[in-house]
Amino acid sequence: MIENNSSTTANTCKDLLALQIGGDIIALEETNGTLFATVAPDSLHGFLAKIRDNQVLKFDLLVDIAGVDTLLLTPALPDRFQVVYILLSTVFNHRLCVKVNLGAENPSVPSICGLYKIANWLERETFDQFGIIFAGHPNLKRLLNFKNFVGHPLRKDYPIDKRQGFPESEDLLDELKTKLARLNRPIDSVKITGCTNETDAAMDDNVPFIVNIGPAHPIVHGILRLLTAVEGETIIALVPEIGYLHRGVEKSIENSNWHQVVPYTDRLNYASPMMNNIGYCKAVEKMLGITISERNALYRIVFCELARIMDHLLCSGPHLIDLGALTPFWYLFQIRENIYDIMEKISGARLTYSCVRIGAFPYPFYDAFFDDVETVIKKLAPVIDEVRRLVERNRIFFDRCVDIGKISTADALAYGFTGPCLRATGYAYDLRKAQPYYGYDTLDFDVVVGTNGDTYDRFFVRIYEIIESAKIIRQAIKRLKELPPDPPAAEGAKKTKGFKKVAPPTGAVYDATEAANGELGFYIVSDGSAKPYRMKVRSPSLCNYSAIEQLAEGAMIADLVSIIGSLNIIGGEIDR
Amino acid sequence: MGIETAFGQSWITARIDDVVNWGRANSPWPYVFGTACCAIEFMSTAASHFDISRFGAENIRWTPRQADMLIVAGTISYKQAPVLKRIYEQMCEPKWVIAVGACACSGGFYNNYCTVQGISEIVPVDIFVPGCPPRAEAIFDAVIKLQKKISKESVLDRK
Amino acid sequence: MTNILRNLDWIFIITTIAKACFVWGLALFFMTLNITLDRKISSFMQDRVGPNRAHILGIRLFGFILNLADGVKLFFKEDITPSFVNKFYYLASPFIIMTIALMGLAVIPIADTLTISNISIPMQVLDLNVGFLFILAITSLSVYSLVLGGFGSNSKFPLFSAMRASAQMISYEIAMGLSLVGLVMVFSTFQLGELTSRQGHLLFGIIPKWGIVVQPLGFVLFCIASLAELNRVPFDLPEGESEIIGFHTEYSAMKYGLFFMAEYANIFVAGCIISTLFLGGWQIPWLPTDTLKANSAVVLQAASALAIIGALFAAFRLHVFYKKRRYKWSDMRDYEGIFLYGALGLTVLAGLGAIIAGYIVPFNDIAAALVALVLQVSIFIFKAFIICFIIVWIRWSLPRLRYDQLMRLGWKIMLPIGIANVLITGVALLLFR
Repeated sequence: MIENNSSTTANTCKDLLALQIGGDIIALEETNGTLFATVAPDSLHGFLAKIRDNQVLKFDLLVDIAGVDTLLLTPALPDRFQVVYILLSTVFNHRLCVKVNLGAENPSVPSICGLYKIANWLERETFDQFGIIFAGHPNLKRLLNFKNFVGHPLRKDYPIDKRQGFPESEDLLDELKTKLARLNRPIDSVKITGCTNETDAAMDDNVPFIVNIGPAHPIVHGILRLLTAVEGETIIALVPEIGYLHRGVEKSIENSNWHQVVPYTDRLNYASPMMNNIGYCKAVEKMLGITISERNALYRIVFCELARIMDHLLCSGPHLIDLGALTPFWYLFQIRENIYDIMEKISGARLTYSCVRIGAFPYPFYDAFFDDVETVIKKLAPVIDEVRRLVERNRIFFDRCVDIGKISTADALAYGFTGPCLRATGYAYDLRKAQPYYGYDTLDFDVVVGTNGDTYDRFFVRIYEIIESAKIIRQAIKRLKELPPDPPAAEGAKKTKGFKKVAPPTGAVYDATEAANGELGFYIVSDGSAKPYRMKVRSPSLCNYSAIEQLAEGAMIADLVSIIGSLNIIGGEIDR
Repeated sequence: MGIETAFGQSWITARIDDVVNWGRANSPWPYVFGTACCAIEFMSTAASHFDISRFGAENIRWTPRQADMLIVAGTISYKQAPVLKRIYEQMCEPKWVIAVGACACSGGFYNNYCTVQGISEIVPVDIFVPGCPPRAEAIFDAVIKLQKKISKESVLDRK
Repeated sequence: MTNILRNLDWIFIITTIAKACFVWGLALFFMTLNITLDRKISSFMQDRVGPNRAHILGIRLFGFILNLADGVKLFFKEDITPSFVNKFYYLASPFIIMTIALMGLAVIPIADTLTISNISIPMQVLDLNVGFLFILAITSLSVYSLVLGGFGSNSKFPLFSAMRASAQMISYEIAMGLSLVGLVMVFSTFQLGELTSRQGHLLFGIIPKWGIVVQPLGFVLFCIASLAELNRVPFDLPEGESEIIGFHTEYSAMKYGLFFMAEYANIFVAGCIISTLFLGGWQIPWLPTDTLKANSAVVLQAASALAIIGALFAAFRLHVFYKKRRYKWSDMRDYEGIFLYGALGLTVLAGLGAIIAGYIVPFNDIAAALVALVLQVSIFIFKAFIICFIIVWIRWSLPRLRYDQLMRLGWKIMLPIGIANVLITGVALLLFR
């Protein structure tokens, strides 16, 4: 039986917190293996600063900020809004959720942008969706919805299908002006038309050239927008905008029952859909207190690693195309096709499988599954070798990728980086080793680590992680073949036919898995009914992408291409 | 539109139609407005297993002025809608739109405050491809149907 | 008036027009062949099929007919001239580049001078005594088109492209010129016809004195510089598709078509230039024109035999291809085989006819000269084709350089190597002359 071992660390953390910083904490409790500390809004900033820098606690990563509207919870809570700050200590491996309760009128809490750089975007998102004001935030604008959107959609009194017509695109010049003013390059006379002669001051050397790398551009894969001010080809200021693929997943999930959420999770990180399914099911199983059988766990490991391979192949191929190396994409994609074939035989779909159910698999596996997977793994090695030969020692690739988009480990942690982007900076943090689940600790694999934190390292961390995933899959299959078949009663014929009713008890949980891009987490609040009350998806791509201003300012446009390609931007995850 | 309409309704125009439609059908240069999961499936369509370049759609143009067909693959949110409309307006005639996937056809299962319930609210669509995401063969089917549709057009349609 | 007409050198005028038409026809044909080559070679390298559906009455010619479809489509597409462009430069730019692409071929000798009794016709459209410099000058003009097109489009991404294009092409002009200085020193002539003839001499009695043999470093430098002039990967920054789309962002329909075609025509022109300067042009190794003319019958028979073997081999491969194909089109395309086999059969028959003619028909002056001409033109085209193939091959293998890295390569690496090449060549000439 596979056990979730986070409860021991939670206990340690609980004791430590009570011992060291008891003064600020109003309540401290552990539910569903997650530690919650409730803090007053005024003391939030001081409390978080203390636990970030405390030598024994060292919560160096702000994982997520989740807003919750408790309007429809029964029994009704005195304070309508909750803001939950989910923290992780990569050094000591413990987690903490810090809850703040805010009243219905003018909910406001001090901003923690100064403590964690990722808080900038996370707070903007919470403001956008809930209307919670973060006092002291440098730029509290909407993040996902368009500028003139009226209302806050994730509030429980906002009807799900209240649409607000077609907006105009925002020109983002105000943010750019603020940035350029800091650099002494005023652009007051400019309005953006896309033409080169848009201002009388165009010939003035002090006015930089403003280029909109908009959502319909090959670099940004159709979903991001960057308003840049360039000097020649060097970017001197950059304003990113996201939300072009905001699909209201979290609101739709609140309207679906627990099983119906699985297809929504497929479409979050659509490059590796199985991992999202498994991450969600793991979180719900944690709430329900279900532990899955070893056989199920090993199958889930195989799926997760196949998904990781798919995601890394999808990141590397288009990255190389953006750099101009057009051929490896086709080699890498062929392996994805082979994995699609396997998943199609299992689930019937090529890309969005919904292949996992809470507690079990929906259908038995076909006989040749193990052979098919072994064939794919065998085909993988020569393809990776070929791509490496084309690219690893290529002088042009070096020039385009080495020392481009460098980020230090400290900055990476401040931006909430996890996954290959963090490991490329030299910091070996992998949830599969740090907080193992499903038996990852019994498998033999290495954590791939880079040195510089530049594009070259991010690219090759992914390539070598593909090789490690292949190793894991081989071991898992070997173990699966050795396992005796589960006795029929344990699988439960009922579970495989139809959907067993799922209704987790009232409460909240945060659970995370190591997805291809980093830590994919689900903060789920249940009110005991058939539908999730609130689900916040912790998106690794959002945190990785939030560092774009730091990475790209000072770089050339050609470098921007390289940087964005290496960060693995998946729109479904960033915008949800 | 141009000199090809000079003969009006006559058998010469019909022959011109044949030639022009043959050219247009056999070399549809796509502009891939790919936002979400369907864009990944489109990438599969362009990959070596399926290969959309067999249909002459190899030249994926990144500027709307040179493209013939606008392939909208993925969910379009209200924020993205003005961008899509502008891209469509910048394309040169003749142009066709293929809505790939359930989200582009009708909003998919995102029936909420931020998703356009089908891009036909914004741009006129020629071919709808159902699926979530549709298989690569379904996208080919759409291209083939578009080719058939093109071959039935006339140069006099788009004066 | 009639005096003027009578005093005109009619032979010269007619032959020049004929040569020009032939060379232009060749360039336009090879332009389409380059497009097909690009698509098919990329498909081969990427494990896929490439265009194979566009057909006329069932004939697909391995995707060649698609070029016709592209052309028809572009011709009948709506031609938008955006309101914000600078109309003169915007409209002039595609025409400039196409003209220049075709003009570069004016001085390339496609065969040895045709001497029939007392008439001697040089096989160049324009027999300049500074033919060499003419090529360099004409290729320099192509940068105007890119810069004017990008700047005249009055739009930001094309402006980036224009800036990059101007910087890139000017930098590599210098490298290109320098790499040819050594060649001029070795052959001591600017006249391209002479240069190609001198490449027929034998070094040490065995090795043909081709440019690549006497100037290997110059060859490498010139190839890299011409890739940069062509705006092909790894130097396709002005047209960096995934970064800034290119100088042709605001162009539609046939204006874009001209840019598109001019790029591929330029590849052929570059292939011709490289093969003329470095690969011996129309020279068949160890077989100068006199030998060809003296043994024209035997040569014709040998060439025909090669052609027959080639056709039979192609027929065999075609047979294997059709055997392995598992799908059927259910229309005219299923019968394409008849057309292709027929064409190959005709080739075999023509070859056999030529062999028989070689035995029966006495070869006089004119026939000998014609045989030599045809063979030399074929070899020239073959060499140009090889270079085109290599250029296309490189496109699909290497990533793209960044702007400043490209400039560093041109100025800091290629320029010093070019100068060193000139020095080494000078020293070698002193020692070996």
